[in-house]
Amino acid sequence: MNNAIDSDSMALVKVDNLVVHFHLGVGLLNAKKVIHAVDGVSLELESGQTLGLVGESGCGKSTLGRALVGLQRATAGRIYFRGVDVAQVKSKALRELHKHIQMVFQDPVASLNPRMTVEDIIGEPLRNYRVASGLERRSLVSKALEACGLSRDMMHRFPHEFSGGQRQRVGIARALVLRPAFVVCDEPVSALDVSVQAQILNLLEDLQDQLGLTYLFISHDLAVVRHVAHRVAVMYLGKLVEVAACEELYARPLHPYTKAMLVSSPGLERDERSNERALLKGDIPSPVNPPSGCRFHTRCPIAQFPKCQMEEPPLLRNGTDHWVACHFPGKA
Amino acid sequence: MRPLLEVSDVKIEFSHSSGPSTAVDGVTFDVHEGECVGIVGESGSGKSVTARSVLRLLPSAGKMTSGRIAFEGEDVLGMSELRLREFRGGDVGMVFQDPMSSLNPVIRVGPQIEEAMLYHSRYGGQEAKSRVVDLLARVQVPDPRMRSRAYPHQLSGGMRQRVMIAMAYANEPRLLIADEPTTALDVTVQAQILRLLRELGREFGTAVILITHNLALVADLCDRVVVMYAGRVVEQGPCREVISNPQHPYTWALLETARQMGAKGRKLFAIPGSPASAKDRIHGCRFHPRCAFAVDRCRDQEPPLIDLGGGREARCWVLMQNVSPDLTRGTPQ
Repeated sequence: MNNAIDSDSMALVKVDNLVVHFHLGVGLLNAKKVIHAVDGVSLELESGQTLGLVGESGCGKSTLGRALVGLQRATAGRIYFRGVDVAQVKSKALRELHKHIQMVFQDPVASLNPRMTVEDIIGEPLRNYRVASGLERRSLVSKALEACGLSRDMMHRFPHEFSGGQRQRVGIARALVLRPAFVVCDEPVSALDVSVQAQILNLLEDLQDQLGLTYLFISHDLAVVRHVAHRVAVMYLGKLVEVAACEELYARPLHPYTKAMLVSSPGLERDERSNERALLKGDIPSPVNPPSGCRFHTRCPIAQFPKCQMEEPPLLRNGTDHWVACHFPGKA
Repeated sequence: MRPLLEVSDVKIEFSHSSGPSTAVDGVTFDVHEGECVGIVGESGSGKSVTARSVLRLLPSAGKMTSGRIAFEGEDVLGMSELRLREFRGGDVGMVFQDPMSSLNPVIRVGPQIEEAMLYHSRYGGQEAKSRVVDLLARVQVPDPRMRSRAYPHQLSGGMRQRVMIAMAYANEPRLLIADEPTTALDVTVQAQILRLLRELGREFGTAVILITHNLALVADLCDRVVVMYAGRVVEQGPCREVISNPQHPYTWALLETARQMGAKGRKLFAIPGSPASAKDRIHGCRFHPRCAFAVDRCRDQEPPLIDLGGGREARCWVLMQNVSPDLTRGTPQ
């Protein structure tokens, strides 16, 4: 498998040929159905950087994120954290390792227990890991709250007393209270009002600067990713189709899918041209039966048959640190 | 020329156990024949409630307490139950955000579209049946004959939304109300649906009200835009002019954030606090607690909608044209 990586540099997180399949094995008809959520993804995340992971619903981006924090078992492949193969780590050490890997969820309502106070919510990881108790725990919680732009007086309140943006700040404080090195942010601003999104993005960036955090930033919103990410990986039906430095990807998209996503996003300055934009046809196919060959060939404007239908294009380097999985890169 | 739809000074209240609260407060706007009007706002702005009141589809706790809504001069509030049934789906079509919950899961989509036509008796049985396939083809459903026999769960989200649009257009309405029609869809599919709405609007001469939180969608599709905040219209005017030269600080700030978002740079311009709703009963201008340019007057007295000429209005004492460019260049906190 090709690694979209430079193996000499020391990556904080390295994903090697990761596969996550879900077996639908319920009932006679579904017994053999398998969802290919993540199908051979290799990635590297450098310390202190943000990798944006972009794709449409059902492309496997959230499953990949969940596999990285250990919420989802990998079917095959390896995940290395600071050079250590996570799968080889035994239970006690694994627990210790997961202290350094945390997650911020999309829905700040569903991800906070409505019956716990904010102090208990943010203090829970500290209690789980026996990091601190009593007054010390309280002081760590109030520090985390303040770092996330909330006041320590809010500690005794319940989630419903907060606005959506404030709840997401609580979710971020909980993720950061153990001082992790790596945070998976799964659509952290998608559920928020437009005017609040910018506040949360600024907060995530400030925290990255202060604490040297590494983010995997999962989103369907290309504008948001462009703002926060250093590198961007584009995913389609369980596969990476393009990986490049952020500005490079937006300036010189090589994969026809990346191009299509870019022209599809509505922009403020668009004019009459918008009617002539080449849009993709159809919807994303089912990950139960992904198309043969290149998975994008059913919607691709430049697909050539039978090549694209038969042969799966590998992720290959095209220019410095620009990787693309297409038989005809840059032709669209 | 008389507008197709006139919404004037509409006030909508909701009754709660804790007493009544206002969701929409004195909203006025017109929609002309064949025109596309975007209503933009965040949660609590009252945009969806306003649109629903046009069809008298308010939830039972909600009530329009004052104002007037007229469709081709006819008072919507005065319509009889019978006339209202004809009006909804006949004169005015509606597309909702979530196509799965607006379609019946146990009826094939073809008969559902057919039902919409038979209900309004504009087409006879055979004619309605044959129109279903035409309509599905018109909304670019591939293989429309086969798809008309599918159940909603057998279709993708984008396909379901096309079915909803086919249904809304089945009786050739004069006005289409689309409430966040693409929010549940992926970006590549969203673009297809928007293009479809634009083409259908042109082809049938249907006026469209697009309700959304996304200014970029409005920029893409609409002729005019109405920006709402906390139950009030804060700015309205021709879409292109509002977007290139916003006058209300709220519109300006939303656009500023969106523009910075699409570009690389460190700190984003962010509006502090969270969106207010009409029930918060803010004294003075409802946006002043979050406004970077507020002056004393904004705290004391709510501004009226000020006529700026050229069909533009803004509810602001300051107006962006009077703000020094030095203040808008930095990141006011």
